[in-house]
Amino acid sequence: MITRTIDQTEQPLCCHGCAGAVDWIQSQGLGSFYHYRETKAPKPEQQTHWSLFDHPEFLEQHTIALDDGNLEIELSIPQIRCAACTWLLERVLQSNDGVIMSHAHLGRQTLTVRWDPQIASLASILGQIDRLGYTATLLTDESAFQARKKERRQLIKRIGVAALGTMQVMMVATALYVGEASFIDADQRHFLRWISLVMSIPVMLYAAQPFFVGAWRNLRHRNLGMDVPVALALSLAWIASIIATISELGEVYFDSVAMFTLFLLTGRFLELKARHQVLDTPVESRPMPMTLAKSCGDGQFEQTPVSMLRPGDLIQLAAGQQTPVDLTLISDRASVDTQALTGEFEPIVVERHAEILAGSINGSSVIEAKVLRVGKNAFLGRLEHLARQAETVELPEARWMDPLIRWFIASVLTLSIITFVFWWPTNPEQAFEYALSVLVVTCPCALSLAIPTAWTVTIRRLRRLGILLLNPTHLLAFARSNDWFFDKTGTLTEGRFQRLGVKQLGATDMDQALSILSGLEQGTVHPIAKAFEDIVPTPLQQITHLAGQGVSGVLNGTQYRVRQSTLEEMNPEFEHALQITLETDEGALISVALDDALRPDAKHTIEALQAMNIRLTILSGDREDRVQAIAQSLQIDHALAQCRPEDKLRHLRHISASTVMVGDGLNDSPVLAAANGSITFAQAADLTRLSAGAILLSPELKSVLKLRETAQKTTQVIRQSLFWVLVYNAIAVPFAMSGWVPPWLAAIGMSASSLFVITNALRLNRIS
Amino acid sequence: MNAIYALIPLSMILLAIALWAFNWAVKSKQFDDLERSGSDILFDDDDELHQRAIEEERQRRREHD
Repeated sequence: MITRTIDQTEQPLCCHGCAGAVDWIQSQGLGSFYHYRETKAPKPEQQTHWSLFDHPEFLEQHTIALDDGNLEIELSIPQIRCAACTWLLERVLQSNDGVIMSHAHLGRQTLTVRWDPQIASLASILGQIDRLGYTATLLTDESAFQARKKERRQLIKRIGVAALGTMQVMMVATALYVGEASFIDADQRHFLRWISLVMSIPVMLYAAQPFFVGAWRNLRHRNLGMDVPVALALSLAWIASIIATISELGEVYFDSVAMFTLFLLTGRFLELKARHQVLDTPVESRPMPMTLAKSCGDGQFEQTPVSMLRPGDLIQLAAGQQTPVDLTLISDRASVDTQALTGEFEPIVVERHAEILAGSINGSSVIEAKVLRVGKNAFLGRLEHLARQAETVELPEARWMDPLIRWFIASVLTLSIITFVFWWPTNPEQAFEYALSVLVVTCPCALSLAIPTAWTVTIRRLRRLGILLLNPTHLLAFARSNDWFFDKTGTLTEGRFQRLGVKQLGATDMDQALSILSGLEQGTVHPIAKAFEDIVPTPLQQITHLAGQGVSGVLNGTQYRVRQSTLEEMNPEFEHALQITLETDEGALISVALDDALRPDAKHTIEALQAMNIRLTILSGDREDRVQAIAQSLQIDHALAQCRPEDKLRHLRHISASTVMVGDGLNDSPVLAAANGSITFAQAADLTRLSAGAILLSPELKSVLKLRETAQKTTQVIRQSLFWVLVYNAIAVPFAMSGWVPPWLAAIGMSASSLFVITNALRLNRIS
Repeated sequence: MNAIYALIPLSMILLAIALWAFNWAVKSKQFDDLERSGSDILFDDDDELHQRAIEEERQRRREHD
C-alpha cells in the first residue's frame, strides 16, 4: 500500500504515479492545493477491499481446499493478452513465500493460484495482482460476460478504423501507382504521399495497437512471440515510408501497412468470436437452483441460498430438482438421474446413507438429505478442477511456430546490420537504403500471416460444415493423430432408450398393445417413456407408479401393468438390453426390448477412421458387457469399461504420441482438456464444451471425418506457405544485401509473398 | 488536376465523419450481435402474417376490455 502525508494525515494512494504527483506538488511548495480543492479524487480502498477476501466464509465458498491443507482459486483476469502476461503473473506470484503454484490461462484469461494459508493470504495475492495493473475478478458469469462484450466492441472499433483507413490509403495508392506509369507531377506525388501518411496514422496508432502492446510485453520479457515480427514489420515499413515521404526519396508502403493490419485484426476477431460464442451461450438445460429448502429444526424447511449451505445441513430436494451440492441421502431410497454427470441415461437407485453427487437430478418424489460437500469441493467443482489441471500440461503443438520465428527474426536483423556495416565504409549514402531493402524484402509479414490466415479460413469453413473450432492449435492433432479415443454413451450411441424389438407373448393385437404401453409410459418421467414417443398413446385411467416396480392403469375395466420381463419372457436376441412386459390379470401380452442404439452414422465413421490406420479406443463409464457389445458391433479392439474421469485421463496419458478424444459427458471434461485434439457435441454441458477444441453443432458423428480432412488440408497449406516464404527469402536476401534490389522491387516482392500466403490460405475455402 | 488539392482534403473530412459515426454505432451497441443483424434484413416489418397477428392481438385486447 502506497501512502503519503497530506494535510498532516496519512492518505492512501492508488499507484506510484499518483505518489509521484503528490511528491512533486509538495516539493514545489504547492501543498495547499489539497486544502483548496473542492472535489476530491476517489480514494483507493484496496486494503479494506482485499482483506474481505480472507474471510473464512469467502474462502470456503470460492476456493478449493486441497488434501494437503493448501487452498486454490481461479480468478478471471481479462487483461491477459499474450503469453508474456501469463509469464509475468506466474513469476511474480510464485516469488511469494507460501504461493505453491500459479498458472495463468491465456485462452480463458484466468489465473489459478495455489497457496499455503498458514504463510500467504488471498488478500496479499489479490493486492499483488492489482499492483501489477491487472484486475482480478471472481469467475461469476455476469462480469465475465460484460468483459467479453467490451473486448469485442473494442476490437470491432479497431477493425472499423483499419478498414476505413485502408480503403482510403489504397485509393490514394492506386493514384500513385498509375501516376508512376504516366509520369505524375512531382508536386502531386508529394501531396498524395502526405495524404496517405495522414490517413495511415489512425490505423497505426489506434487499430494496430494490440500488436504493439503484445510485442512490447514479449520483448520486455525477452521472448519473441507472434506479435514481435508483426510489430516489427509494421513499424519498420511505416517509419521507412514516413522518412521517404518527408525526404521525397525512396518508396512508401502505407497501403501494405494498412492492409496488413486489417487482415490480422480480422483474423483475431474471428478467433475471438468463436471463443466467445461458446462462453456466451450456456446450454445447461436445467439451471442449477440458487436456493434449496433447508431445515430450521421443528420439521420446517426454509429456502436458503446455496452458498450459505454448510456440510451437515439437512435439506429437502424436490422432484425433478438438480442438486448443486454433494448430498448423503436420509430418506430411505431415491431414484437419481445422473445423465448430466456420466452421460449414462438410466437412472440409478440410491439407498439411505449413500452419496448423491452434485449435478444429479432427483427422479423420485421429495427426498431429504444431508449436505456433504459444497462449492468447489462438491463433485462438479472437483471435476472442473481436474479438467483445468489436465489442461495445465503444455501442448508442444501450441508453440511449434516459436523457434522458427525466433530464428527468422534474429537472422533478418543480423543480415541487415551486416549489410549496413559492409556498405558503410565504401558507400555511406546507399548503406541505409540497402539495409532497409533487406528488411523490407524479407518482410516478416508473410511469415506471420501464414498461420493466422490459414486458421481464419479454416474456422469459417468448419463453421459452414457445422463444426465450431474453438482452439486452432488442436488442428494439428486432428490432422495427424493416429490415436483416437471415444466415449460410448451419447457419443457412439444416441444416449437414450430405443425399442430394439417386440415379442408377442399372449393372444393380442401388437399395435394395440404397444399403444396401451405408450399410454402407460407417457405419464412418467422415466427415460423409458422416450422410447414410446413415436406411438400414439391410448389414454388410460387410474395410472399409478409403483416405485421401482413399474406402472399400472385401467382401460375399459381391464387393469394393465408394465414390469420388468422375467427370464422366460425375454427376447434372447437382445441379452444386454432392458426388457419390459405388458400384462393383464390374464397373463403377459408382449415384451419389449429397450436399449441405447448406435448412432446411425457410427459404423460408417468408425470404419472410415480405421481405414486411415487410426487406433481406436472406447473409454466408457458404463458396464463391461455393454461396452463390449458396442465394441464388437463396431469392431473396435480396445474398449475400457467402468472408467472414472481419472481412469480415462490415465489411459489417454498412457499414449505418448498425439491423441484425439471424442466425448460428450461432464465426466469426459478432464480427458477432453488433456487430449491434444478434442471434440464434443453442442448438447454437452458448459464445462465439457469449454474443455474441447472443437464442437460438432449437428448431432452427426461423421462430422469428425470432415474435421480430419479439413485439418489435414490446413496443415498442408500452412506448410506450403512457410516453405514458400523461406525459399523466397533464400533467393531475395542475397540480392538485397548486394544492393541489386531497388526499394520498389523489394516492395513488390514483399506484397507478392504476402499475397501468395493469403491466396494460398483462401484456397482452403474452395476445397470440396 | 488541381481539383485534387481541394477534393482530397474534403474526402478526409468525410472520413473523419465516417469514423465518428462508426464509433457512435459501436458505442450504441449496434455491433453487439453480429449474427442477428445479418438476418434482420430478411424479416419484413410489414410481413402479412405478422400484421395479421398484431391485428388479432389488438382485437383480443379490445374484446377483453
